[in-house]
Amino acid sequence: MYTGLGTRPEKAVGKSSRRGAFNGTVIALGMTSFFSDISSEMVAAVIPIFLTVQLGFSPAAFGLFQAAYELANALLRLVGGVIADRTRRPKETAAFGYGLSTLTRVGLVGSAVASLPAVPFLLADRLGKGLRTGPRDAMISLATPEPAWGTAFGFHRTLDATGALLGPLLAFGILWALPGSYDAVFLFSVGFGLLGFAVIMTWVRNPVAAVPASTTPMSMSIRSHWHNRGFRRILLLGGAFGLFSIGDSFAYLVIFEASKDSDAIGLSGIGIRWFPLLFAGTAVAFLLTATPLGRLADKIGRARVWIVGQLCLAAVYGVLILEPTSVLAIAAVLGLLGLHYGATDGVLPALAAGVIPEHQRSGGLALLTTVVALARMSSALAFGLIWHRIGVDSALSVALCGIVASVVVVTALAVLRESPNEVAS
Amino acid sequence: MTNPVDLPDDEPSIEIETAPEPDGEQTSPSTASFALLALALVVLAGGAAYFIGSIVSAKEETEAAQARAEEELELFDPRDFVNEFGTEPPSSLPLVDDSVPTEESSDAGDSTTSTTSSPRTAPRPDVDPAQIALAFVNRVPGDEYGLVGYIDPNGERHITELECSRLDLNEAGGICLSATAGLGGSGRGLLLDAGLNPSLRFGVNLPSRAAVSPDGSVVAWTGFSLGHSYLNPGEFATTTQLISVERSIGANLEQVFTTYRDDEVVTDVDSNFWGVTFVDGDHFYATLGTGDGTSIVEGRVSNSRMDVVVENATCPEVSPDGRTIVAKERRGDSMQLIAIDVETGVRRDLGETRSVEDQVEWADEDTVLYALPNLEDGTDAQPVFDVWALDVAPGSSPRMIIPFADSPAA
Repeated sequence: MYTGLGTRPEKAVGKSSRRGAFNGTVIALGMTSFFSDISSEMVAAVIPIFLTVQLGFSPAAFGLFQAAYELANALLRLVGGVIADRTRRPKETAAFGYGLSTLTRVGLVGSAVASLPAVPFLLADRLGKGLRTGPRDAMISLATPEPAWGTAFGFHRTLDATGALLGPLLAFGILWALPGSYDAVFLFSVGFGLLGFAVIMTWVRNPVAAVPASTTPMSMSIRSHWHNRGFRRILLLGGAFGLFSIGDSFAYLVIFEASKDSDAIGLSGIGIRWFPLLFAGTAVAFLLTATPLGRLADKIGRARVWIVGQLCLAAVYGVLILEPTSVLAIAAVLGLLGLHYGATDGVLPALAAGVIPEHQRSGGLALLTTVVALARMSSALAFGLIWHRIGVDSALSVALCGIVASVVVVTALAVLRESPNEVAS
Repeated sequence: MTNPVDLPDDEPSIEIETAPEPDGEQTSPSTASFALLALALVVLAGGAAYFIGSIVSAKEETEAAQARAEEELELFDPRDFVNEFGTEPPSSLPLVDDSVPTEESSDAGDSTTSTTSSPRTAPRPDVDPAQIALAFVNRVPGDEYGLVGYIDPNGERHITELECSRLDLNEAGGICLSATAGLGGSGRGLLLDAGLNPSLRFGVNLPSRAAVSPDGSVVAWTGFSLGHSYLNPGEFATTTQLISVERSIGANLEQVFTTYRDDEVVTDVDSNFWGVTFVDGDHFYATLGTGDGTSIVEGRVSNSRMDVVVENATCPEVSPDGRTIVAKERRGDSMQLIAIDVETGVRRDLGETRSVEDQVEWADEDTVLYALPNLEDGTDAQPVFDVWALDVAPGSSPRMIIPFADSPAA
């Protein structure tokens, strides 16, 4: 079932198992993501300031833009997955996504230099990002033997997160050296985007499918995913836990507010000044743990590692409830958040890939990330509402209890009947 | 790095060792791919070249602007301000000529014990408060851009080493805000004594407004913050904090104070406060912004309460006698300076026709100062402002009083 690459599938199987997780396709896709993430995160980091300060967006317009931005991403993810499955060309689909995003940044250079409208380009950028996600994850699973999926996804996420960390650093470095030089930021972004595009075009090849391309319409393929019992279980799992995932920004905001309420003006200053460092701290913890935890997942069972990752998130909420004003507590929150992502972000697709038939994998993995993203979005909304109406501790307690209850239920179900989630144990 | 031809069947292991990419195909990863790779590198190199070029040209532009500014400053009589507003009469108007260098730190440090042992967090200008007729933020492009300057009683312009983007100062103390470079949207604030020496450092958002009460017991700052509203992540909003100087305790206006409009609590989620002005250490005014518009609130620190007193106005600045507020009223895209009689609430336009972004500063009982952008002399990175003076009496017109300066503090 696990065909490798190239023209001789039966040969490639042997090769792939020897290469394990670190095969050419995974490395190339990882490097593509690395460069593209430098490119896109450079832009994402400066966009709030660029739109509001440079182009004079009102807060309301900016909020609307944010919503459209995320929606464009979520919708096109499904489309990208289905197209990749139907054409059996995940590489071209993904490459089109990377190329489209890069092209939009050429437009952004235009916005910075000649005040072209920036918003259409930014939305098209998200469309591109949506298109490539599903096919990319499918190719990782198709190029790697099943026992090494966790490691392969973990390795890819490490490169991905490294790029996402370097991008903002680079962008702020440029703006620090030459304030207002958004054109230079966007130009570098185009360069890195092109580099990512070139890597995928040059070193990634379409997997050879054992089954012919699917010709079912989009609604049918989503329905067929639903009829797939094993996958449905994972969709429910990802969605349910996503509902209790409040998102990093809220976690940082809790830290920020807690240090502000302590009423010492020195602390409130530290809170604001160190805010960007919170993002960086989590990213470092994530990229350091993604590969080893993926490997661990391959050894002891992906579902187990994934559950432990959720418990890390529960621990984050616990620390947040106990007022994270000390440096140690803040470090614990960042470390645990990073661990949570390391144990879940790559492990979930590795878990799901085993139960999605090869010819539906791009669409299936895209559906999974979309479900998780939608669940997280509604969770953020609910969390914000509860925080606003009742209080932050209640909101955190609800999320904490939600996770713990879900873990108990899932574990109980898994013990009661041989769970197919334990793919690799 | 690639295998343009198919590998022989008996050599797979060699390929594994040497080639990181997947095994070959009949069609090679074509020259087009490599052209793409080359293009990417060319764009990156071009970006780097453009970036370095921009830095160089920005430097040249700054130098040119600096030279221009110095020329223009020569033409401007610095005694104008003191002749008009100097509290102590310029006892013996010396014949000021261009040969006077800025030696203020050595000759002015007589009133305070000149302690230069302070940690290198911020410079201690150690200026004799009697020497400061008016303090401002220097806007001459170049290295001294953004440093605090002051006009002495002789009308001489001095520049200190203290960096501020927004300043307020009086005989009792001061506050200085500056944006920290790099990771956007943050800044630092300093409490100052009357001689511009920092005594306490605190964090702020992107600096916007600063005020110190006449007795120096309370200061206020306003900064722009990102993602302040829980419901709309990513929004811009303002934060305003009052700081008790003695107790080093801050109070966020939005969180600690309760605001009333006609004795009903204002519970607008979008409410923001900015631009505080003090009558004394307890009594103050500020701007309240809601979804509907802006209004002026009157507050008391002692009872943590603010009341809406004026609608449709922003950025109040109360006169030293407490009788008049100069504020701004929106007229389309323009902000019109207005005077509001505190007792009667009667408002009238001042004689400034240009739109004013600044919150004004009172120079004496009947004149306000404010900065306006000077679009001709600045650069992108170092925009220039001039300080203008305007009599609040009807029929007056504005005069430029201190060129290349911002954030006047009298």
